[in-house]
Amino acid sequence: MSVTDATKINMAIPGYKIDQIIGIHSGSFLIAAPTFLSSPTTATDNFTTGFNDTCLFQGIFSVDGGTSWNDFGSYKPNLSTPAQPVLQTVTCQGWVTPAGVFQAYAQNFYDNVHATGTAYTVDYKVAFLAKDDQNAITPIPTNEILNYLSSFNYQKIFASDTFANGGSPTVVAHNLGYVPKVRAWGTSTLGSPFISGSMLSYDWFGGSNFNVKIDTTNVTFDAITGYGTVNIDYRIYLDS
Amino acid sequence: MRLLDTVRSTLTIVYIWIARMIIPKNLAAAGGLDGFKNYSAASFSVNVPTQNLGAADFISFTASTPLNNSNSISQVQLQYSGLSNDYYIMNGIVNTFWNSGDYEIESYYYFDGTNLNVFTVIANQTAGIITIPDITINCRGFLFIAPF
Repeated sequence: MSVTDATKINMAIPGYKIDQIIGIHSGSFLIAAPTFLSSPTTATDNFTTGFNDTCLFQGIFSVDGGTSWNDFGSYKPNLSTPAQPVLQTVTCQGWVTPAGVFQAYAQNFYDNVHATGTAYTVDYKVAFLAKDDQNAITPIPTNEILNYLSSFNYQKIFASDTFANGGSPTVVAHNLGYVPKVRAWGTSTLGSPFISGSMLSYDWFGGSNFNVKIDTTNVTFDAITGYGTVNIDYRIYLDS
Repeated sequence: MRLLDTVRSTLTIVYIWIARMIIPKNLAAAGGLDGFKNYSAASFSVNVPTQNLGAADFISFTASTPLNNSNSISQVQLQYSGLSNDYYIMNGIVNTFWNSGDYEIESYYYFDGTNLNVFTVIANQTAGIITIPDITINCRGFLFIAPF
């Protein structure tokens, strides 16, 4: 078919922003077996992004050679003794320092029920995302496709912002009429085990019983204590 | 100049105008960068029937769905229907206390190679017998394509 009338052609411009992946990284490191008296053992792995700044990120890890992958902060319970499930096993989390260094951080807990401690090789993969106020950076070169393709159903950002957490729960209205997907991160001035001002994945706070609740109208962030001054970055997606 | 060439030139001008004037404002992918793509989703649940729990006793339940996370980013939300209408984002774990701290609910989610599992423990935090109400743990699991 020939195009004969340019006025009949429309160009679709997306009305919502999407996450911008500015780099990916895969790494692997060892974590020693814990004992009853030295639990958990910890281990870190560093990667310099070159951004010279924090950024957002999301990652997955595996401790079984890549057979199964779990998100940062997750634990795979040991249910081999059903009457006494072991909940805290081994996990991997991460943060990005103000200097732009991503640090993967694993914790390996001693299994008191079975009286065992196991060493693991922690494989991890992380995708780095631009903050809303990200300064000029050079994305990390990669062999993977990082180009936007309109044929995919991208997660669309309905709302995003930053706020200082503390004192009381923070309620953010979205009024979408359904339960949307939400991601969140936060910086902390605590300074340990991460460097003060680092960008943390929310599992740091979730693992300390500070939750994010969503209903058809609002997103509610628990007030976080014990992490110093915390600033939350959140993204509410249009996607249900 | 043929008509098609004229159209192409017009389209090019229109495209450049749009790209310069509109894309930086509305399209985060102006730099051509990728985002997360919706790939797969599943809703699944497990019911916890009302029952008594003795002092310091606990019960556990698992909700599973055949969602395999071989190489992607995921997110799980869950709702304790019967206690709240809210959905919690599972950042590794979700830990909550109910009925003035009488009982604690802790949920974990993990992939085991073939399934997405949400494992939940409900524990009595009192020194006496308590009654747990009927709770349905509704879970929503999402996989996103990441450029790993």
